[in-house]
Amino acid sequence: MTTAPETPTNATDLAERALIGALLADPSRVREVRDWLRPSDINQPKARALYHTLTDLHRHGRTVTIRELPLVIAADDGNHPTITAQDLHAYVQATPAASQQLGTQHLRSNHVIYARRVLEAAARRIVAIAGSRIHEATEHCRDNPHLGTGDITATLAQTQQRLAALGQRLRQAQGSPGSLITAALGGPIHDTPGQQCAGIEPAGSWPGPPSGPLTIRAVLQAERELLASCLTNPALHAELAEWLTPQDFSRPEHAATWAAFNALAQAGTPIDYVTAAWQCQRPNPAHNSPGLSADQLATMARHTPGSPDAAVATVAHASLLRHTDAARQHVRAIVEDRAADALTVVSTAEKTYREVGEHARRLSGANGTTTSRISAALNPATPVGIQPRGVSLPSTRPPDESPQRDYRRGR
Amino acid sequence: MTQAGKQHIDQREMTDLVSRGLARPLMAGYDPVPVHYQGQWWHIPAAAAPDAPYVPATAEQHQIFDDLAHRLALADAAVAAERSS
Repeated sequence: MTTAPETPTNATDLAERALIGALLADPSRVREVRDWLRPSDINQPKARALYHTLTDLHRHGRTVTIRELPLVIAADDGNHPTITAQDLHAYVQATPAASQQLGTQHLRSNHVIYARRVLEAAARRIVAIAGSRIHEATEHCRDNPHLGTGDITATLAQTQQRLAALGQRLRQAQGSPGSLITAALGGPIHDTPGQQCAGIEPAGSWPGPPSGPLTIRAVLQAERELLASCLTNPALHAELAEWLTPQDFSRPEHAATWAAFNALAQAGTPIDYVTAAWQCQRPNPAHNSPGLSADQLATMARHTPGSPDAAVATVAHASLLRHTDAARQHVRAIVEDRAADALTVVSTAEKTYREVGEHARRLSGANGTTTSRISAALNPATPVGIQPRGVSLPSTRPPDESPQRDYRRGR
Repeated sequence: MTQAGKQHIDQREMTDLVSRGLARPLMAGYDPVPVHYQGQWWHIPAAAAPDAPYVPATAEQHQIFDDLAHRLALADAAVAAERSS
């Protein structure tokens, strides 16, 4: 692999490199940014020298080949660093694939968006140098849950029983998304009876030994695989965005990265490792993490992920298991809390179970997502590279209804 | 011009002015950040206390912020054009 001309350490570095790479690939793109982005706005010396030269050439209507650029820069009056052919190659390589839209040959460059990021970073520096305070604002968004009431003893016992049963079912449901959702909704486990994973601890605190499919390593790998797949193929993110939430990821940095993808998509900004790194850099206290680092995202984008279907199933499965374990622990804690009155205990238990049910319904596509969309994510024959698994989604039913119903296909 | 010779604006008051659209921050998503209000730029000096109020920018800072605001507006227009193309 070609050595980077200047080792990227943050999102701004990535944006500068991606911008220069895009401009080197097509110098005529300079006209779309040169009116508002100045060479002095660029932090890295080599990138600055290249941008200075490219804008200068464009202003004078001159055209030079990329091979000639090092000589042109060297001949310039300014005190520029030495640019080699290897540097130029590395810059071009540092630009994310021009088109992330499958099914089309139209190549679209994001150089304007990268340039806007570079200008924003420059503005922050300039404002600070001018002696003014500037900080990124933090976001605040938390909902206020409300509590319900019900028959005290029966509800509490039923809730604890259901949570315990749900956790057990989820531990036994390995492999297919179908069995996962069936388990979450209270149906029987049937597709992998031999994969009992008695040695697996509750999600979030699993010890090291990968004794079963849902080890920490397997879940983390699946989460990274999923994030990498969306980085290199945003169409996949579009399929999954309304289905998976940041809370479905086990690590704060993964959750924050998924939230960053969502924020980019909502803003209409193309998702690639440059824009994702920039978004991750923004304060996001909801996830107690800045997300994956710029270097991690850049490295991730260079990795060509395989079919994401197994990763999707693993992430969803682990999420359900983690939420169920957390819910059971939460209910146990409130039961053991002598300061809590009976009404609080019951309403908390009810709410907790309801939340797990909502979580399961969301992952089954019944809560704000369409069945076809979830099918596209879990079912294989989609244009986003997911391979068929022959799994059909079960019907969606709240977990507190007919818990023994068999949701398997055709039953 | 300043509000009847007003020489400072509390951070909370400035946030309120921005949220009501009466003042315009240099860049969205930043707080604090230089803010344009009633024909001039207001800012919190870097060396001021954490809860220090906004004060009018100097003439030199005024030029810097005007230039940045102009270029950021052009950049935002270019991004918008790119998205709609």
